[in-house]
Amino acid sequence: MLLHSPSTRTAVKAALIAVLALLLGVPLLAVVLAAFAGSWNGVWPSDPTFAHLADALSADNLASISVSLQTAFIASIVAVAVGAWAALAARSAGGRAAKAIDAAFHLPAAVPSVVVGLGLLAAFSRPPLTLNGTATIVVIAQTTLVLAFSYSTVAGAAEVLDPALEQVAGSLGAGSLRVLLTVRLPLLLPSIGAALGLAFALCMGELGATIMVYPASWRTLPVSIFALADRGSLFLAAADTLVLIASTVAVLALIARLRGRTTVR
Amino acid sequence: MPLAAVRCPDAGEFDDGRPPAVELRGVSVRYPGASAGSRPALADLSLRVDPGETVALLGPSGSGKSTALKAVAGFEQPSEGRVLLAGRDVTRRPPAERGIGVVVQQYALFPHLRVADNVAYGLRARRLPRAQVRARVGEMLEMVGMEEHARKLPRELSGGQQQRIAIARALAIRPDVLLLDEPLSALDARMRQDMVEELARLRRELPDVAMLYVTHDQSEALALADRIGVMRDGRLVDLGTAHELYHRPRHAFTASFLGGANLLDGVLEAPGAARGRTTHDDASSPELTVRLDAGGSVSARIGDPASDAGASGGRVTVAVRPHALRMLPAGRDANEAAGSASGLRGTVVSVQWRGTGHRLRVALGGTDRGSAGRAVAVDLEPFAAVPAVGDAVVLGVVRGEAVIVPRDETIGGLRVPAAPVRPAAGATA
Repeated sequence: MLLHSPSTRTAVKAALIAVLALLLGVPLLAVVLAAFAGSWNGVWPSDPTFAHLADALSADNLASISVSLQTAFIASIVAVAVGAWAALAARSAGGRAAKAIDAAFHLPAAVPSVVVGLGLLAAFSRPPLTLNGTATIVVIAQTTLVLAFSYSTVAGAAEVLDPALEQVAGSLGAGSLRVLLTVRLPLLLPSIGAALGLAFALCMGELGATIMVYPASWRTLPVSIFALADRGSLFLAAADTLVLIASTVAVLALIARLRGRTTVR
Repeated sequence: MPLAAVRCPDAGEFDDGRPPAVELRGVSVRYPGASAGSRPALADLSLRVDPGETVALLGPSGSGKSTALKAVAGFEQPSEGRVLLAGRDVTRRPPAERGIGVVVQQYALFPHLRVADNVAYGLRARRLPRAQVRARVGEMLEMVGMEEHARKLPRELSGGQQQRIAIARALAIRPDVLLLDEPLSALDARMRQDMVEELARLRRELPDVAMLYVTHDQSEALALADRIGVMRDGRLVDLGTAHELYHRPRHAFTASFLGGANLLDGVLEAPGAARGRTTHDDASSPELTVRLDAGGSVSARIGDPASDAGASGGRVTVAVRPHALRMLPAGRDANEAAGSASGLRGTVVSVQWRGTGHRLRVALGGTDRGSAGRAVAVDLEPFAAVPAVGDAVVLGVVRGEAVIVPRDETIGGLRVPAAPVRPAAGATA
């Protein structure tokens, strides 16, 4: 829809800002306010304090942050590696095989995360492969859940890759490994970076499956926040949330910087 | 459908002991997923390109010419037939083992590599020493006049410059065969003309490189090719030198695609009875008289004496190029003035000014029921009087320019609708 009159345009802009503020701004603002609130009885919080934030950065919580970061790093890197490989394989295979791979890799996005968690518990709770109670099962749960997103991000870019480039590279004498390393991967690098950022952000916030499978020794930040909120410690949960957001944004900014350096187009 | 008409016999080309640079033997390509009954993208193509020779494959889109090139490059796997390079069977070998230079329509330069690295790509794939790579890249960039752009990325170059780099990259590996797939179709008209001249210069500089040039543009084919293969519906319908195809087409499709000839259906009269003269072009083909379905008659020579067009005395097609048709002065006796045509009456249905002259569309048969698209095209001589739409005109044919080809009902577009055949006595001299 094209809007030509300035007054309609202003109205639409105002409506957009209002919707965004309701959806994103208010919850975020509430979290920030709660994180620094000593008490909150009226419309606005009172008795501002840094005590919650100090708690959130205590040794116990720092361990949670570290667990979250480690899990997200490993899970997103594995998911992007597998997703990119599958996307390239699907494109090379073509036809029916490509459709089958496409469907298989989109499945985790369609299945609720709780179901993924339950499935992992059911599958890996007894020999021959007992992973229940290990950190590995948390990593596997998060990898499974973000695989669909990393796959479709890379597959979208691989789809529009000009096949003539690979054909010409082949005609110039490059074998398939050389074509992969010198043509396909360099051209897919921007989308791989995007997939990595997306996967990492999703992993950092993952709760549904993690809460089903996590062992006491490997508690991610969202699990801690959920536990705090469940116990009624809303201000502490809010402070933890601030830490979660800050660390996620910091890592995403780092990935974006690395991507900026590799992007050629 | 008549078999591919290969003029140059295969025997005798081994005289110098060298096998052809490229040889296709009965190659068919069927794309996977195409239904079994559908026609293949390329059907039973046999073709040879000698070392140093340039062969153009000319045809409309979907005629299979690009598929033929891809089969040579190894980008498509033939479902039948064999591909040989310098006598070596490479049918099942991947492109990397064929050592062919390929230039494609949209250049396909590696967007993330600088110009010099693009040109060096094939040399590095061959693991040449660094110094040799640098020297060869410099040499190639100099050849295409792009030395000062070596550090640029492809996106910083114009279309013509990108095309030069694509050619330099393909030739850097010293291929014996260079394949060019519509290399100029992405350029504007003026740049295309420059590049045709540049390609002609390259051909002179590389006398041993065999080239297969795929195009839908007849002027590129005429300018660059030693021989031209005309393709249609996945088949090679005609193959010969530009001169042969232009002056003695052996197929109605060749005549209409190469030079846009009008195709006039008619019936052959007694051979040679009308005139019995020979043409300036080919002493071996006598002129025959064809009574046209649209009325009138034309003296024409047989395009290919080996074809059966003249043998049957039956229904044939006469191909006449627009510039070989003349508008005769009204009122004069058409028989005298026409020279080699008589009674070609029609009505002007459109007049188009083309800068250098006018093109008329004339509905033959004295009626105007043929639409403009189905009427014959006539290019007026410069400074000739231009008729108005609706004028009744009489057309003549420049002597020796009408060619008899076998009738092919499957060609549309340029065919003149058959009017009721008039009594022979009233139409012929």
